Amino acid sequence: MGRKNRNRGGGGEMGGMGGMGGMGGGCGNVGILGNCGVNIQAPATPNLDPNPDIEYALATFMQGSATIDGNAVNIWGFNGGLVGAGAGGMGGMGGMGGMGGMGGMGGGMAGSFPSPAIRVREGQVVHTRLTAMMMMVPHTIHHHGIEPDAFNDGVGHYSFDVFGTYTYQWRASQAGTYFYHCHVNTVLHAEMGMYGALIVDPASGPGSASDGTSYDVEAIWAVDDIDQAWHCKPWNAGLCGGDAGFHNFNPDLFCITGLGQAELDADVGAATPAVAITANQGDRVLLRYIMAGYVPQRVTFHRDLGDVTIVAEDGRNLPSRRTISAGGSVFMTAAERYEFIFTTDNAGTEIPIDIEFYNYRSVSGSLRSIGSIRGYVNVN
Amino acid sequence: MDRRKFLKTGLASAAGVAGLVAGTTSLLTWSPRTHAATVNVNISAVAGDIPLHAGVDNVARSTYMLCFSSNSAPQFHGPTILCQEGDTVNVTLNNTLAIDTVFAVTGTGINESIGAGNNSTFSFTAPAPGTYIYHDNQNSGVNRVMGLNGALVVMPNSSNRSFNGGPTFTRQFKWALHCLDPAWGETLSADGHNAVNSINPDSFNPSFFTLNGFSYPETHNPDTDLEGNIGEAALIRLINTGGMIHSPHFHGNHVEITSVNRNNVTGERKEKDIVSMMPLDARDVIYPFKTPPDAWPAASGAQRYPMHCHSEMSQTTAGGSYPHGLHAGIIIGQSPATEPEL
Ligand SMILES: [Cu+2]
Ligand SMILES: [Cu+2]
Repeated sequence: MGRKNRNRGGGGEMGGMGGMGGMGGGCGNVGILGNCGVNIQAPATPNLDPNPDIEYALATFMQGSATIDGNAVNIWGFNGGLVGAGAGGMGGMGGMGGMGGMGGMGGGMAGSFPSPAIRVREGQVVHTRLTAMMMMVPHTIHHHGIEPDAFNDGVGHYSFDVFGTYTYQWRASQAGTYFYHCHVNTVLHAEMGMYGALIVDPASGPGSASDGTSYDVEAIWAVDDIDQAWHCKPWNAGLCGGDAGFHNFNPDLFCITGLGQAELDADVGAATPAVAITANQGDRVLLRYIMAGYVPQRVTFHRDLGDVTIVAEDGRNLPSRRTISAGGSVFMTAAERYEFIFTTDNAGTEIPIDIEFYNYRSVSGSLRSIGSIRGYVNVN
Repeated sequence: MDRRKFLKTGLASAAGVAGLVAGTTSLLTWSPRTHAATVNVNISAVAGDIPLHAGVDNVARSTYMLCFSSNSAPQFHGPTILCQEGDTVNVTLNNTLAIDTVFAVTGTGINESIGAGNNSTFSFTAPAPGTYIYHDNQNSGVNRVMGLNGALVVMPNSSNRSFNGGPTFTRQFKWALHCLDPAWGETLSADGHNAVNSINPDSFNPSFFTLNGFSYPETHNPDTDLEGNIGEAALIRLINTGGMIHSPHFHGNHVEITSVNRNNVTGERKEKDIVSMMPLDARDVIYPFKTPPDAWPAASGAQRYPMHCHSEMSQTTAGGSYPHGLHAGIIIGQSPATEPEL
């Protein structure tokens, strides 16, 4: 693959470990086709390009389970990954799919949380083939931040919801950090875990940030908030009206790429951590940060990580890079993405990156903290 | 009740004339002038029931609100005050509420208190060009969230931009983001206006989410939806008058951040698909109406997309009815159908 940077498995793997083979139990979720406001179709892709540069195949699952801070949480998501010649070689790519997220777990009944990463290069024509059959429930894929024609944008109210198979066709015009998620009853389906990283590398491939800055170590973090009370509802809750409680979000669990604090604390000590960033002294680290939650987050970098530079936001290079001085923080709201670069000049273990979560309700404008989580950097 | 009636029967604002524009109106039209003018506006603080969105299951409901209004009936939002920098704005405020009200303008020292039942006239000089919120700032924002708010849009002298040297655009829109907790309305209705003093701002738990007072699909009207042909850039003046932190997400194109609380970007503008909106924030962005950059093959014909808040609780009505919330349409490749009438 010609990738120059070293991949130590440290944080470059998108897709947590929580979803390994578990089965969500106890929540009846019988699909009912033809619900309010849902426009179910599985059309042929208009102007289907017979020779896409890269293709991903993703199938939905709705009986997954993740362990987050010791709690079993029901998860929905997508299984699968890269199709074709490149698929076998992905183990060395880093960031391609999660731990066990590459194949259908348990016969397609469960899968990883978050869902496997989609990783393409600038300029490529991409096919994302969605198969939504599980539990007779429609879903879509919206490539968030990617701007295709409306038919391929994955928003049911403006096109259609998929039951069956549909191939989304688009071309990656700009390198950047994106994510993808289901856009059916989004308030619920995104919360249930139906999202994954979407990375558009520069045309040269992995090894550089979106603005061309090379890196030694790459990490992809998707940081999410979870209200367990929302994780046992039918896929179409509220779609026909009534009160499904979706105005009332009170997250009680927090995670980085599917791992809660207890799992992160264990992960950082592992030989090859899944989420903790592992670097050598003097390495340049690219942290692709996906704000996957609903409530605001403040990310604070420990001063030992030195100055942190933002080179891109929301899949676009900044007109001029912004540097946060050592120990500084960044406030962000739902679905933003940041590309952070820092150089690990100071050796140390478990150097923290702290994320504070705030109540989304604020009449006065002041912020009320509702929780926090700590991710780690090990610098050898 | 059909909220769209406001669009037809609301304030008639001749194009380009300073004064009041209905608070439910998005599209603002303006003709710059080289001289300052005197602008007289009449606003009443009134209380009453405002219809709430009916949701998918079409449940008729309303909530009691405190409003700034251009007449004696409750209106939400308050009328947009549209003027030019340097104009003398004379406001006659008739407070029919049983409590004092305040007319304060974000980012300025303008702060006028009008006693319960009083009628008072005050003046201010229109501040620097930009987007402002006028609001009753009492009780840590409770009065504002109960409905006492509106937009103040100040155009620059001699140019049809959001500030001199700012980007050009074909159309400009005002989009006010808001959310409501009917329990607060019930408290005021039952206990009287004075209850604003005892409501705990931290008790706010909104269940209705609006853009210019509408929830999807009522936002799908030619005034509120963002429409334009390729190359017809739109300026969108986003204001957050409500009590939650919003994260509006634009499909189809990224937006260019033009001004953040009247701090104007004069160099190259940052592109975002999310615009973070704290309560009382005013952020001006350009939606460029480019051909969708990632379409393959190139998109042809009108393309319909959403703008929605990604703090997805805001995509609901009364706890369900996704996506009936703070959500509007974007149509790339089509100009507003009724534009000549606006
Ligand atoms: Cu879904
Ligand atoms: Cu999204």
